[in-house]
Amino acid sequence: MKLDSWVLNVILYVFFFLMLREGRLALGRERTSIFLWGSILWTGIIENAMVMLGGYDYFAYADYYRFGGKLIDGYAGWFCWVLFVPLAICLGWFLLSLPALLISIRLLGEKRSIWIKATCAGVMLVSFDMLLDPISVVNEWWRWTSPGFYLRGVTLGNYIGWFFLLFFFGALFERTVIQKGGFAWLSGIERWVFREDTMDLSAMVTGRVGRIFYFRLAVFLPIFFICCTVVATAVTFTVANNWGPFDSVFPNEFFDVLR
Amino acid sequence: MNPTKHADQQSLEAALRAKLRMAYFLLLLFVIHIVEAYITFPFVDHTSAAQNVFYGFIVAAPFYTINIIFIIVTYRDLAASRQGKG
Repeated sequence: MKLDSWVLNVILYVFFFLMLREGRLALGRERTSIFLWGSILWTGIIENAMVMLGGYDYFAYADYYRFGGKLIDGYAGWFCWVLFVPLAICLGWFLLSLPALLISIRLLGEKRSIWIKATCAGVMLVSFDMLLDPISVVNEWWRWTSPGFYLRGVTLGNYIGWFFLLFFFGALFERTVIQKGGFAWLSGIERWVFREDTMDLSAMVTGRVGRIFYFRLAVFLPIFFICCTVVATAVTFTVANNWGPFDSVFPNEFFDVLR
Repeated sequence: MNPTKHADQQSLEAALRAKLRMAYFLLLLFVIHIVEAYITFPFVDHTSAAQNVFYGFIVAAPFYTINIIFIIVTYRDLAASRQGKG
């Protein structure tokens, strides 16, 4: 049976509102808002970059939907977009990541390294995604176009990306917004940008803590891309079994060098 | 119990209950996707829906196992919190 992408849309929006409500009770309204806007920025930028580089696309099945017997021109089954990525995808990331991080923090305790807790949350997220993505492939919600090791129609690079997405985001969120601390190596730059000591944020209002968090996300963005590229490229060159099953709708030759 | 301590206790319990509901929602989302995997086409390299479900339970094992452990731990936290109140 074919499941249309509006089905996933509805599920993600409903669960988004449920998680947002519970998140506000569990973490507080302001901290949940920081997590939400951070998620939309973080996933919005990264997903759009990957779509534009030709890693995957959400447009492939546009001109597919009919209403009253007529084709809906250009409609790809998504309610709302953040540039080239459906908003539901960013919200879906939020609704999975927030509880995964809170669960990891509770189970591993406050004293453990933020990176270990972020790893646990990342593993949870990837584990769920390994079920979601094969469903999306057979139902033509989106498709991968890059070379790599394909498992059930999904490239391993996708799971590597999902892991690092929450690994960095979760660790930064915990250190900045929950622990209200900083990174020694970054404090010099932050002192210059924010004109105050950012190693201890406990006396700061939450809004300002949020701005520091967004700044740290921006700093870690290139680190995220480097980690993903190194690991995904290593995997592709060692175990790739598919050199790109489709051509991306974006006329981009980024991945063609690997073919 | 003084009013401040009582209010702290209540907000702690409310936060724990919210986290518990989040974990239940995650499990519900997993069940919905397992149902989707069952009613939809076989995945790439699969030949039946039953294979989809089996694969789903295998790959998502870390997800639901950690989630269930969290639910158990949070129930204990809530019970301890109630005992502390009493």
